[in-house]
Amino acid sequence: MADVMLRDVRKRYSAQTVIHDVSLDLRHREFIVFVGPSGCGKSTLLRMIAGLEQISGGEILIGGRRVNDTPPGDRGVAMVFQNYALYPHMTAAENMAFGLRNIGTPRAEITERVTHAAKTLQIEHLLARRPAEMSGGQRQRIAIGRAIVRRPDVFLFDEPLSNLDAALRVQMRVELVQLHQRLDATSIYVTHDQVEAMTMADRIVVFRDGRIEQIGTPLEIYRMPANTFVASFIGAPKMNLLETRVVAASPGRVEVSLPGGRAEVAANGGALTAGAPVTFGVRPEHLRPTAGEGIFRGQARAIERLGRETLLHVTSADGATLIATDTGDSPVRMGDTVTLALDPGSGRLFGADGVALPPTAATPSGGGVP
Amino acid sequence: MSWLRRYRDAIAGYGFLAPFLGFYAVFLLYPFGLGLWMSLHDWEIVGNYRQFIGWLNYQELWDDPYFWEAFKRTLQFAAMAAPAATVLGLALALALNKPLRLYGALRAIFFASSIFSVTVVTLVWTMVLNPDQGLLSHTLRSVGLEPIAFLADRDWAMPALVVTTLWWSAGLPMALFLAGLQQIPPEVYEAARLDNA
Repeated sequence: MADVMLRDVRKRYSAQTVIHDVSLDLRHREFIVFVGPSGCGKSTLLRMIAGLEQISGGEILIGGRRVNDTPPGDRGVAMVFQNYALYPHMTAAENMAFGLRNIGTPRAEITERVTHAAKTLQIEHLLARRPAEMSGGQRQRIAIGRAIVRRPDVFLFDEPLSNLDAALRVQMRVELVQLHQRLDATSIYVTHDQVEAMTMADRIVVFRDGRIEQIGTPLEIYRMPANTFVASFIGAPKMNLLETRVVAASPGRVEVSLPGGRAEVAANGGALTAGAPVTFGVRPEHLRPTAGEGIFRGQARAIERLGRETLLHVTSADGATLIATDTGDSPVRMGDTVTLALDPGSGRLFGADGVALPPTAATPSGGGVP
Repeated sequence: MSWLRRYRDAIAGYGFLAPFLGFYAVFLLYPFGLGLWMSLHDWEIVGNYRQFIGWLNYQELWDDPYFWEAFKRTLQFAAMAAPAATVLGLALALALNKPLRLYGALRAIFFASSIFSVTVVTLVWTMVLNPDQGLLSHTLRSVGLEPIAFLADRDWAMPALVVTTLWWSAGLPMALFLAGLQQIPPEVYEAARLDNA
């Protein structure tokens, strides 16, 4: 069992705190993705779990064992680096065997494990080559192989696909998830790519400035972002956010004014009164052009035809822009005046502090936020 | 003038090299060639007598026991100094391969000795090894031992010269090893830590 527990983990560099008392419970065999913009502390936290960075406060437990002062090699973790970090003077097979040799694994067992991992990763033909003789994708497979042969309790991935080209990245994404399902280990995966986060994670942890902004399944985070930061970070195109004011608030229902209309959002307005500033958020796929009544009216200023669907950038007279989705063969042309309708129950409201208003039970969400 | 355009880079390159090549030719190539030429002559150092004698000088050298003794000593010296300088250079490089300001200063200090001329090194080490006034003699006396005439003693002269040479020359291998070590990305060290290396 390799549950990973972080208790008030903190990292300070002299005067600057880069990780602020982070607490997290990762369950055995979970695939966890740490996501956030660069400099948010996600890589630092991963390196603290690996033992490559000292912990300034709090504690880290792997499989119930406190590992704060355990050297990296004894934590039962294996790490895959962004730049592969293979040993350039060793062949692929030697790279994979190195860690096992260092802990005195019998030769026959090393050979067996390396062969097995090579077969799993389809890198048998590369075993005799040195890193310089391999492509980026091949090197990353060797680096993953080096992690697998150690049979760790926890796999740590530090942006492992960032240096690969787009097509290979998509393929490796799928392979890594399939690999995780075969292995009896917990995976922690750091990325700044929200698509990787959405497609790979059992649960996503969104970081900003060394703090956790939200923890949840990809759909929870997508549908119920805890604040405007998460709302704009997860999803491509990102969630539309418009600053507006409350028109009327009643228990379980808040009405806000928008350019060319009003939107009704199922949310617990609590103490909100008419005129209070809020941010209205809606995903582009929940806005579509309509011939009838709508919540927003403006001019089509940009039209992105993606084939399966069309993204309309609609700008109101006072400059507010919403992105809406239309069918692939959308008749809308540049400059057309468009009225947008909102799918019922799909709007979100954030208070003046950016924090989401609690949704009502009627909201079709993926569940609560842990 | 298409040839001028074609060779412009080469002309500029040799132009920049010219000062060095000039000194190199005058002070190294010419004396070296002259030395070879002289070795084939019976050549008075003072005076004008020059007589071509072919390999006779080399034949004489071959039969000279002092030459072979000197040759042996040179080999001994090289066998002691060269590996020691390499090992010491690597040891210093490994010890100083850290991104701290103090280590940067230490690197500069350890390298500094290798830019001294042989004259300066000789003067400095004479002050260290001098049996009457030298630093080592003082040290030995202060702990109640007899001072040693390092450079005059049959057994001590060679080790003393080797140590002097190491002090003088370990800086360069250190700099070369440091340059190599700093080419290694930090992730490789981290991967090695995870691999219990």
